[in-house]
Amino acid sequence: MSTTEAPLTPGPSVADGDADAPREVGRRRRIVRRLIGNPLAVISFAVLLVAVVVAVFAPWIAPYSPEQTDFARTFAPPGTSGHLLGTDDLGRDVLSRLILGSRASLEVGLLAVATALVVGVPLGLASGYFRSLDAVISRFTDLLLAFPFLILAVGLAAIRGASLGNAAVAIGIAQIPGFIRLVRSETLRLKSLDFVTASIVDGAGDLWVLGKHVLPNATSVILVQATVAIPAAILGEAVLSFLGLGIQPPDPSLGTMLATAQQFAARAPWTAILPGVTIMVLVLAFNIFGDSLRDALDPKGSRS
Amino acid sequence: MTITPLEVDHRSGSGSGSILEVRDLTVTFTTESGTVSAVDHISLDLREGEIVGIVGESGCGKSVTAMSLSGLLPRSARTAGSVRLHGTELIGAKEPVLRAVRGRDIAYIFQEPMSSLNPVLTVGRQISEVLQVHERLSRKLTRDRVIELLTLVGIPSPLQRIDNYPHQLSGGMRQRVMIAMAVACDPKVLVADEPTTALDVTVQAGILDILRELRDRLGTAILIITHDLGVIADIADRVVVMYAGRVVESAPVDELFARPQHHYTAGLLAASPAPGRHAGTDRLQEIPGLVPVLAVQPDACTFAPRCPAADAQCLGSAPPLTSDQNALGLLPGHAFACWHPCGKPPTSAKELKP
Amino acid sequence: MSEPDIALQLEDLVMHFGAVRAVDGVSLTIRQGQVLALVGESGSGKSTVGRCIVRLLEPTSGVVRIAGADVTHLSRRQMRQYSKNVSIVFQDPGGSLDPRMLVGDVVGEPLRLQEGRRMSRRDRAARVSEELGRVGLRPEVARRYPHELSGGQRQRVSIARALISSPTLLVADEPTSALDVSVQASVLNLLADLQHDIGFACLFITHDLSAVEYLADDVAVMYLGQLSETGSRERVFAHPAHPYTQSLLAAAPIADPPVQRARSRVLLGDDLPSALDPPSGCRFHTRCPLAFDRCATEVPALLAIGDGTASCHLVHADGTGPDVRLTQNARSPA
Repeated sequence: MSTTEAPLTPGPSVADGDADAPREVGRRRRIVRRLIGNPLAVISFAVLLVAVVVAVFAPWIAPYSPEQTDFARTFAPPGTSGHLLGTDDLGRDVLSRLILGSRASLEVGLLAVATALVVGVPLGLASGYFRSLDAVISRFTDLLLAFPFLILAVGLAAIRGASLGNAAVAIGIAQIPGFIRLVRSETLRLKSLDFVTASIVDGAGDLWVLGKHVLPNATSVILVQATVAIPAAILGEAVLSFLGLGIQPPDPSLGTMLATAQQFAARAPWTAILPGVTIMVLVLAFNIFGDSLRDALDPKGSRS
Repeated sequence: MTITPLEVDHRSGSGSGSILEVRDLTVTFTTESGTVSAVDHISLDLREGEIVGIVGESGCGKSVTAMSLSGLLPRSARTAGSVRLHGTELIGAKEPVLRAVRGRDIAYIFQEPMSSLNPVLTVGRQISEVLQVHERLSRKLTRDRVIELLTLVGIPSPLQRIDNYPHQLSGGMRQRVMIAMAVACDPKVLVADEPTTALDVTVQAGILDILRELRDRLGTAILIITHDLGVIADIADRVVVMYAGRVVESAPVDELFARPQHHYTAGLLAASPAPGRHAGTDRLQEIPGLVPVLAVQPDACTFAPRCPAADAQCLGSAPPLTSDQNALGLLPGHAFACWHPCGKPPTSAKELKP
Repeated sequence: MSEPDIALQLEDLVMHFGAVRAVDGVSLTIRQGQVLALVGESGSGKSTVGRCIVRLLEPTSGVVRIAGADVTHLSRRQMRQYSKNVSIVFQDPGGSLDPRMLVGDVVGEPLRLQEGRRMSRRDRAARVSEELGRVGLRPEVARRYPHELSGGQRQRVSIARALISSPTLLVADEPTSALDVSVQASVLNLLADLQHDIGFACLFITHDLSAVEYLADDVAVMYLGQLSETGSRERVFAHPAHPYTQSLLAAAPIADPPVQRARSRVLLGDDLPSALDPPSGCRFHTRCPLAFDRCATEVPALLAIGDGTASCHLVHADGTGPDVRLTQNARSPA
């Protein structure tokens, strides 16, 4: 309950029902307040905000075109005038490539998680709610889990060509089982609660129960899972691009930058370190924010 | 370590000194939405062989009081005041001191016997562990002692039950095992926090009997915490009524039920359904309003907003816990914190409705 | 068979979950406007009976009639037209309200489900306010979230929701067990008042005999899936026939120390048999202080005794029989 002090005024005897309920701050405001109270959450959110703004306005922010080569100035170290973070083996501006590479990473992350959500959430709901579908969907989940993610990506690249979109779909498919299992267990939990039962007694159909009661109450865990899945997808993109299964050169991507840089790591370490650090910062920011969000959403954290 | 009957005159209570002395115990919690005052300057005594009941509704601080006795509260709690066990101060004592006290001197049993037992260990093993923590006994002696304990708490065929896992026992049996673990080291004080609330009523009677027997045979002082006035009437020698973190009334059990002085006590008595007690009426007495959750204890009677007898004095200053025996003809040991006590019996419906 | 003034009729209701015989042949009748208290301890199957009535469960066999209509085997779709007739209130006021919905939406949900577009948003809001008023809550509560309310207030909201479609039968499954004593009293009083004013029939499921003394017209006592005794409240409290009913009454402590100390106790032992493997003969015989050879072998017939029934070999046709509270097994007062 809340910590509202009861007004100590001599009132006429009010029924329990009439008495003022201890007023609590709205749920949303409480969550926001908790997030603001956590410095790590604020920092990670700020990093993500900057990343998103940079990604959206990338073409305008980047000082050069990421593909513009300058063979006169290859391997310029960071701090070179005109190239804040230096240039790579082809004389391309590293800062511009990082900006557009991060944008590609975020795109893959969002696209992959969107794929996983669109498929995983309905299947998870169905699996948890309808007993008859549970076995089938669970076997399907096992199948997906058993399928090696890299083989899937290779296959997809072979059939449809290696591209950002296909890499995202491959990563998204690999993330589907996680969402199915999470949503399934949450649905199973919610299904057994009295408010769902009461709704069924009052004549609610399955779609009503799922849409009005189960899904709204499952959103917070889905949200938290998504914030964890995005950085995983970003890492996945880096791996795929590193292996040449993702974004194709000369398009910039943090993964391809790392892949090319490894040949010159000794000569121009910044070409490897900078994309590596960028990946790390993005992934960390998402993970930390996801963790803080989980804590903020946890009703037990509110002490009652 | 044999169990010998101990002659204790538990009804009089005044002969022996207190085992446990609680003085001005105050507990506040710091939460993210501010401080909460859970217990405010509580004093109580527990004598050898005495069963004292703490009664109150959820949020009145009765469980917090129990946990604070041996420092079992979470870190967010701030405890002040004094808790003396045989003269040893426990508030502010170092963790090793408290650890030695827990189990050996002050033992606890809780509401949920299932979650308090480890599901993968036999009950015999779990009781043995308690014995081994505090006493060094040989294997054979330990096993004998465990069987003795199981017999003591009324578990039939203890030789078989000793090798049972918790899930093989009924709820009542599990609570008996919990009691066996609690009394394994002959504690001076047994704190029972809602020990029968999760049990069926036909099982409850047996558990209360066991507690009574422990007191009679071992002289254990028992602090029983409950919301159920029926349980209090059944087992307690003395009752402490708590409301919003304060003691509002304390008295020998018969005295409290016959002549409640605080209007909260009277209201609680009238609100409890009990077969036959309200025969003829078809309504139960209600206590209007809600138990307040307080950030700071005010200098006022915290029950005043719900009290039919409240006036400006009640809102202006907190009534001290007094025993105004002469004026009201109360028994010794009957104390209450009210500016306008209910007075002489009968205290019933008409006094509650203004 | 179905008379017009019967709100609920159960005929030989059986509900098995695999090998677990949760309910094993229960027959009950509640007339319009009457309150029947179904009393039993954990594992007695009393809540399962309630869930069969609101058709959350499809009975293994037997018949459930609500206001004359056989609903035993209706599909959920078919059941929808009867859902107006029966509502349920649960024990835990925290879990029975959707935490993401405003109180007004919670209370109005049955109307949305049952009336759909036939009822305008405004009419529905008016009905919600009216219903909240009836359970003693202010209309502003409609714009609050459940977690902003106290336990007692939440249980009032549950009751408002259950009654908004004017059901003929309310199933109340331990509606006050999770509440504090003083709040319990106000919710019991509210239920009694509403029942008196509106006149719905009520199945009040509880483990606490003393809670129903004010509310019930009739009492039915369940043990391990079967009825031990039924009868009018007056008779069951004053002259319980079945040893189990007697034990229940003797076990509940009375909040009056001298009286409580002077009472004799009946100790039944803690070992509750399981519904997975119920005892042979009379199911109560393993704990009954009066059990003799016949109880273990022969299932006692459900004997009509005046205003009700009892199933015990020791009870005579006029309802008299031994009282466990007076036997040697009963422990004399301390």
